[in-house]
Order: sequence, then structure tokens, then C-alpha cells
Amino acid sequence: MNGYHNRVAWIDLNRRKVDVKEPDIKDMEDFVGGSSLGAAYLARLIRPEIHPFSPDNPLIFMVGPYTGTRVPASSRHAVISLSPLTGIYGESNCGGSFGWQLKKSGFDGLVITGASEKLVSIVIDSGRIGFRNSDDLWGLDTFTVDARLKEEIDPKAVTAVIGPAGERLVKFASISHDGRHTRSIGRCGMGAVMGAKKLKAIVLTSKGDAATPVADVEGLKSSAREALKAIKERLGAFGQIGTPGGVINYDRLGNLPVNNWRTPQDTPLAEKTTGTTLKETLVVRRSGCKRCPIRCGRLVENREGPFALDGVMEGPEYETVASFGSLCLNDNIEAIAKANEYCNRLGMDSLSTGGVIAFAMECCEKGLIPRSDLDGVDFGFGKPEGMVEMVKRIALREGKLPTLLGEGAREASRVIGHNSEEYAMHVKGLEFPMHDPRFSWGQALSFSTSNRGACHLNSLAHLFEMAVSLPEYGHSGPTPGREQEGKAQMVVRLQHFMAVLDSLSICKFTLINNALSLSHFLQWYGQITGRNIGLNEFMAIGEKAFTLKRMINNQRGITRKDDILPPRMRTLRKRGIGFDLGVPPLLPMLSEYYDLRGWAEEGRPMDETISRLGLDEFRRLLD
Amino acid sequence: MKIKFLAPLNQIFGSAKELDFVHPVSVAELLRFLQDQAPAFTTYGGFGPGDKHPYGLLVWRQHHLMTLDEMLDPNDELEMVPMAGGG
Repeated sequence: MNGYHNRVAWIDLNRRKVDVKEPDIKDMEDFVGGSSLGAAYLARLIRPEIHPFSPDNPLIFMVGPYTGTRVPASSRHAVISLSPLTGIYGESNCGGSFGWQLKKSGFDGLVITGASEKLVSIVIDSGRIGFRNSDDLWGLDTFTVDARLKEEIDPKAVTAVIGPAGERLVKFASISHDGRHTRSIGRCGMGAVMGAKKLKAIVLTSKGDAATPVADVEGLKSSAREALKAIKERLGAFGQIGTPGGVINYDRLGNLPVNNWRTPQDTPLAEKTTGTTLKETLVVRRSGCKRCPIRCGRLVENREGPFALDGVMEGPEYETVASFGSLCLNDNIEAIAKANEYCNRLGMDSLSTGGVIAFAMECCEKGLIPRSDLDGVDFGFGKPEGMVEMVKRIALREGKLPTLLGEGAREASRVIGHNSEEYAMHVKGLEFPMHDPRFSWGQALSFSTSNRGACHLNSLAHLFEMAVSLPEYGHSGPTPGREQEGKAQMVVRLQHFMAVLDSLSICKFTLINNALSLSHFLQWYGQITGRNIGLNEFMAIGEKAFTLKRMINNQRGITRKDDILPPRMRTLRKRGIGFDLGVPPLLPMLSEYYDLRGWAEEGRPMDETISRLGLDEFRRLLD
Repeated sequence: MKIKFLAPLNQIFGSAKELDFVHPVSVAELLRFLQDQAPAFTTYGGFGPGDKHPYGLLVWRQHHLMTLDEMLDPNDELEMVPMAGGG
């Protein structure tokens, strides 16, 4: 099929054997690519008893039909596996150049199974796949490994690397790409799965130059050119300030988490850490993902002081700024950048890291963690030195408390006890992103039903409530964030839409300010693959993928009891200057949501739903 | 009407500006006026048909977030804060 190379590499690390297979055309039509096709492969390979660290848990890298084409902002890839952090379905995706180069290397995906006895790296040189013994790379950070592999193999190579956190199986370890211009597969602990497989790196040489076959080359050229104009006009400011520009406005709106989600707002702190402050202090220039016109990233530098950075590197994004800033009551932007450096270098998800640190700070405040467990670190809210030191110690598993925190907030609260689960902000074990469900009831429902746990990207509901419209799909304009009516329907539709985008592999920031919309994505799908389908069929791809991921979770014991927000989000009203946000009415929204999806009350898709979506092959997941 | 501009909008208009309009104006009309005065402002203050907010800033009156169709009072004190989105 056009849009693909029709080649997926199945790599068995037990035997160091590679088998390149042609994907089933029905799979490509049904699931398209990205995390959706990855979920289908995962569903076929797993059994209920498989632990995420088992060699039998596959680690799957996927791109989509957009990758490697003229579609703007489409250099993305997804990684799919069982998550060691949550124990259930896990996925993460990111930009950068890895997805682009994987496609250029002639592959639509990599399915990695087994585990190596010794540390190993996979080297993909155009269409050929080989292995490199990598004991010499043990313990090295991601920047160093990226530089060393480039020096040894190809200066223009693209890498996927785990750091010491992944080697030590920190449950939210990330996979870092592009060295110090870091793009991270951050969420769900995919770096720890790589660590369990003793897989230190994947290297893609620059020799790969396979063009993605496109059905309508001229049509795509013309429509992509038009889209570029809209992106430049509508996302110019977003690109100039970057994602951290959201901090100050989100503080005013009530969306910014402060003091582990307890304090309504902290405007002076927000002003000290927002994107414009970052721009005026640490930013040296903008950066962007491969072939992306938005260029929302920025490189930072800080040569002096306690939080001096080790050279020029990718700076913190909004989520990281809020996670190590307002969430921990830290107004020191240099400390945020340093914590970000440790996460990127040592290989950890900055969201989960900030989340467990804020949890631990509150436990300390409440006297639940003895001083002796801090090993001399001056740790607590508003203490940037202690926060940064704790990031490093978690990654290296240095000390009793950091080792426990490396298991994630859910497990840490279980061990600490004394009602500390009240301070652990997670859903299904995945720590919160930096968006408040009390501000966006759409996000409240999304967080609680997202297949990977607390996730804002599975619906982006807050953006659709604030400004983004989707007229082709029944969302004609912004809707009140705190209104129950119609919310379940909106979230269901947005989850399908986002699942489609995750299948195609395109950046969701293209939706901001209505720069691109559904009609663009549908048109490009037809122009690239030559498969001209209608809107309903297009959206059904998303529904099918979302439901399949839910079935994987059902197999692993997920039911309605797990579709729940943490106690703080069910009990604590958020009153600030300019807003008064009540707790979201989750339970009634959830019932309506299940009805719309055709799920039974306990949260499992009903037989007729499975048949309607053509998922009968996967019915055994519910046995 | 007093308008406070946060960075980097202050590089276009300075940190504050006072404007007098003969007739009542909407937020959209105010933004168009500012775009006419400084085309560089369009990156932030531009907007398209059907939009609720401009591309790259939010307009605040006291602690109220204003939409493009809302009318302004001559005595209003506004703040323009760049960027709405997060990641």
C-alpha cells in the first residue's frame, strides 16, 4: 500500500535474529500505523501473565503513513509496550528525527522481542539491521552515548538511547533521541522496558534514503503548501515563545498545578517561570523537529551558578516547567532547566519525575518520611537545590527514598502508607500531566479513561473547550470547560480523533488556533495511500484502536474501578483570583461515556460493540 | 483605555499604552487597530473568522479572559499576555 514500505522488522534479542515481514494489508487499513497498529501487534503477542519486564513483552517502534512525506510536522514515531509503571497498555510518542529516519531506512516499524544477555545496541544501516555489543556503554548518559555512537558509526546518525535510569529499571525511564537536542519517549517507562531487554541504543545511519511511496504526489504537494501557510500564520507566536508560554495564562485560568495541586494559583511564580521569562534568560535559539515549520523547541544555556548546564541543550517544555516549577513551588527557572537536563541525560520522564517529587515533598511536609531517609538532602517545597539533587538520585537509584520514588507515585504511596495516596496524583499508576481536571471537565473524563493512565493528549479537551473547533466532527466551537452536558460525547469523539492522529503520526500542536483540521488529515490520508475513505470510516479507525487498547487493559484487570481520579480531584475545590472551580462530576459523566462507547457498566466493551468494530479476532483478551 | 503589554509584546508597543476611541469597540476591533499600527503585532494579535481568541495572546480585563466579540469600555484596563497553549 502507498504510504508504507510494507516492511516491519521483527527483531529477536534472544537469538539476535531479524525477520523482515510484510504487514497484513487489512491491519494497515484497520489500524493505519503508529500506536494503533502497534497496539494490534501487542495484543496478539501478550498474555495476561506477562510482566512488563519479561522478555516476552514486546517493545514496538512504529511510524505512520505521513512519516517521511511532505505533510508538515509529521516526523513522529510511537513506542508501544506493556508499561512497567502502570502494568497495563503503554504508549508514548515524540517528534525529533528518529521517526523520519526510521522510515527513510525503509521500515514501517520495529517489533523487538526477547532480551539480550549482555548490553547490546541495534544498528540499522539503510535496509540492513545488525547488532553492536555495548558493554562499553553501560552507565553512560544519553548525551555521551549519542555522541560516541555518532563518532563511531556515522556523524549524522540518529539514535534512541536509554540512560542510567533505564538500565536501573526506574519505572518511568524514558528513551532519549537526538542527543542533547533531546526528544523523549517519556511516558509509561518505555526506557525501563528497553533496559530490561538490555538494549542500550538503536542507531539509524544516515544512509537510509527510501522515499515513502505517495499515490498523489502533486495533490499532496499542493495541499501541504496550503497548510504551511496556515501554520505560519496561526502558529507563529506559538513557535516564537514555545510551549512554556502557557504557564502564565494557565495560572490565571486555574489550569496550572501549584503545590502538588493544592494551591489555586501563584502568579508571581508563574511570571518567573513562564516562556517569556525563559526566553529572556536562558534561551539561545529556537529548535524544532525534523521538517517541522512550527519550531516550538528552544535551546538553552546557563554557564554559571549552582544550576549551570553542561553546554547548550534542549530546554524545558511547558509540562517540564510546570512539573519542576509551580508543582514543586519552585520559582527558579535555572533549577527547572537543570532538572530537565538530568531527566534528558539520565533518561527519565520529566512529568512522572516531577509528580513523584511533589508527592514526596508533601509526604515530608506531613512527617511521613523520616529525615534520615533524605540522606542529607535539604528537600521540600520551594527548595530547588534539593529538588534537583533528588532528580539525579532517583535516576541513579541512590538511597532508600530515591529508589522507592523510582517505582512511581502509586507504589511509593502504597509503601509509605498513612493515607499518603491522598497526595499521589495519578490515574492507573501514571502521574498527572500539568493540566487541572477541575479546570477542564473534559480532561477529567479523559484522564480517567485514557488507556495509558492520566493523559492530556488522548483528547486535548482543554484546548477544544477553550478555542479549537472541529466542525466536521460535531464540535462547532469552544464549549464551557465546567459544563457536564455534552462532555462525554465530546471526549469520546476527541479520543477517536486523537487516536487517528496517533495512527498517522502527526504533531497535535498543528490543531492549536485551528491551524489544521480534520479535513486536512483526511485529505492527506487519501493522497498518500490512495485509499479514499469517508469521514466516518476515518474516525472508526480511532474508535477501533481506542477500544482495542481498552481490551488489552481489561485483560490486565482494568475495570470501572480504575477509571477514577485521585481523591484530591474529587474533594478539593479550587478557588483563585478570577476562578472558582468545583470538582468534576466524574461518575455521571463516566456512565454516559460508557453508554456512548457501548461498554458495560463494569467498563468492558460489550459483545455487540466488539463485533461492530470488527475486533472479534481480539475477543480472547476478555476471556 | 489603558493596555499593559507583557513581554515580548512590550518590544512592539512598550510596556503600556493609552488609547481613546470615539465609539465603543470590541476586542477584535481593538486588535485590528493595533495590527494597523504595528504589523509585527499580527503574529500575536491576528485572528481568523470564527476564532474566539487571537493566535498568540490572551486579552484579560481584571481577571476576566475576554473573547474577540466582547465589547470594551473606555475606562477599561487591559492586559495582553502572549500565548495560550501549553504542551
